Amino acid sequence: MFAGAVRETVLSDPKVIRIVNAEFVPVALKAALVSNPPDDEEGRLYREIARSRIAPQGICVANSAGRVLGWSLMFDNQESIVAFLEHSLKRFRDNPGGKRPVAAERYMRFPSQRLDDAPDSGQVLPASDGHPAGTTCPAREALPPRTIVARLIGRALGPDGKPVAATSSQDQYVEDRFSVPAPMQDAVARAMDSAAAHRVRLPDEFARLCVTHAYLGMLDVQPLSNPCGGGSDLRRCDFWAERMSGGPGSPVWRLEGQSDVFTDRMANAGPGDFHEVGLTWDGFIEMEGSRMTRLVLSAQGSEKLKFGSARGASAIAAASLPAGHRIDLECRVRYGVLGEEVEVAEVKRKE
Amino acid sequence: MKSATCTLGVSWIFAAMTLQAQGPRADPVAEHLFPPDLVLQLRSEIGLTDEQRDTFRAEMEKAQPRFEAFNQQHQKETGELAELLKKERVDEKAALAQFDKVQKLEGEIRRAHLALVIAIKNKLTPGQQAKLEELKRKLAPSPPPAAIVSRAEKIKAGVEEWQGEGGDPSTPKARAASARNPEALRAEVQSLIATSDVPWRQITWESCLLEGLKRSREARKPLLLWVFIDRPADDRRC
Repeated sequence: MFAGAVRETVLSDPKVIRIVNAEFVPVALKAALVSNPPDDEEGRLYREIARSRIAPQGICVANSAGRVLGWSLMFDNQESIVAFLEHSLKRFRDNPGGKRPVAAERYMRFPSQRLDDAPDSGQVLPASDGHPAGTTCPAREALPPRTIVARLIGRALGPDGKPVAATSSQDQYVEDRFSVPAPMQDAVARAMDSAAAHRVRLPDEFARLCVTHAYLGMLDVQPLSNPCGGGSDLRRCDFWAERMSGGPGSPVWRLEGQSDVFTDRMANAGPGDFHEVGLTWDGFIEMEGSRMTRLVLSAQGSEKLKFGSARGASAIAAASLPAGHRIDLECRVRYGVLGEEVEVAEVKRKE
Repeated sequence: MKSATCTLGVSWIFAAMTLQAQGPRADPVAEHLFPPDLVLQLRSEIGLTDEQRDTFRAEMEKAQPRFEAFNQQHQKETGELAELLKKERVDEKAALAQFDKVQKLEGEIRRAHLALVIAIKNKLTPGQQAKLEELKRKLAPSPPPAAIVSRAEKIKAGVEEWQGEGGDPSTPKARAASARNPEALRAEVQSLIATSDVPWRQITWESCLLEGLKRSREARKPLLLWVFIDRPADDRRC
């Protein structure tokens, strides 16, 4: 929830955007990498950041040596976000390069809930201009060859049937990515090759993959395979493919399917919360032998999501970033998926 | 030989039915059978019960691994046959023996497929079968009438017009046009992507810590580190 709430509340504020772009070097780091850094010089920098943190996620300001100046998990109000940035800029001016020891200020909520500072470690941190020759950045996502990277776009529709204009909240507009790995493409190809009929049911694992990502809202409300491990009622999930005209060798298959999923067990959810998504799918899969070369899918249907039902509506979103905001959604929805084979540059090469 | 290497598919009977239906000759076998996908497609028209639908789907799913195994075996055998035939001097005895193996396998596949079709037919009521016969005749492809050709051209023109207008995915015209056209559907999906007014896109995040520190030293600016689970900095859900 935290990252989604930060993006919607903190990083969508025009004042914050202006200050960050003008005064800071913005770097987004995966919590997993900060928690488990590589065992090298770069790893020492990650460990220095992790040393003073309050929680696995958060917002942090560091100087050019990689020493943390301050952390905050939440803010008293929207104005406090700008105040935190300005306060951090002042501290940076006092110690831009890490030549003098500096303590990391830690705030559960800036500025009212301050925790103990983390004193300077006294260690000399490496200053490297790049990764050693022959190594890649640990932050770079490496995908196996033949992976199809699918981009998903989801939109809530208004009463007029058109996408609603608001795009800062994932309850209304969502972008996501998922991968179709080579073994799954092989399974799809096998199903097509062994079609017991002109029309063939595609492997459930493929249908589930697409259905898993087609929902509005943040990660916590995923209705199928929720991160909390809660079960789902997958009432329907079947995708069928039919070879398009062009004869037995035609590489294009038309897809259609239905999905209907419900869960009332979501991460950080409470009584009365649930998520229900019913979609009708159609689209095309282009194959080249056992390789999937292109994927174009569309889905439309309806969605109901209640999250944080038992909580009162918080007036200050910046003060409750880890909990996020209350959601009460019921609308028609539209999803699109565009998938293509991963670029060679993104492919993981094993030595 | 071509039939041995090229014509096999586990949908042989259905393919044959389709071909026969398109041509002037009637196929005495196919005209009494119903492809499972046709049965499922026309389920509401023939009044298929939920129980029948689930049974047919289960039959098809049960058959699928067997057809998959058949298909793999067939690929292997035809591959071996092709290897024998590509030599300048073909071992006639060995090639014919391999050809017999391929033919035997094809016979088994056709038999298994016929068994599936019969099993499905036997679960349909006489009324459903009669309705299917009638619908099959109506659905049999024939040269497209001028009206259909004209309509297809109108749809194509509609797609082009829609794309030219920037594509509003909510219009029925656009949806109908894209239904049989991957490129139109692609354009329709792309039109869902918000290209402006997405506030969080206005900050360009570095993902490499070393690169960020280098820029920090050069620009004399502090790092703003956003430490997160998953990848909210790009087009991924968070």
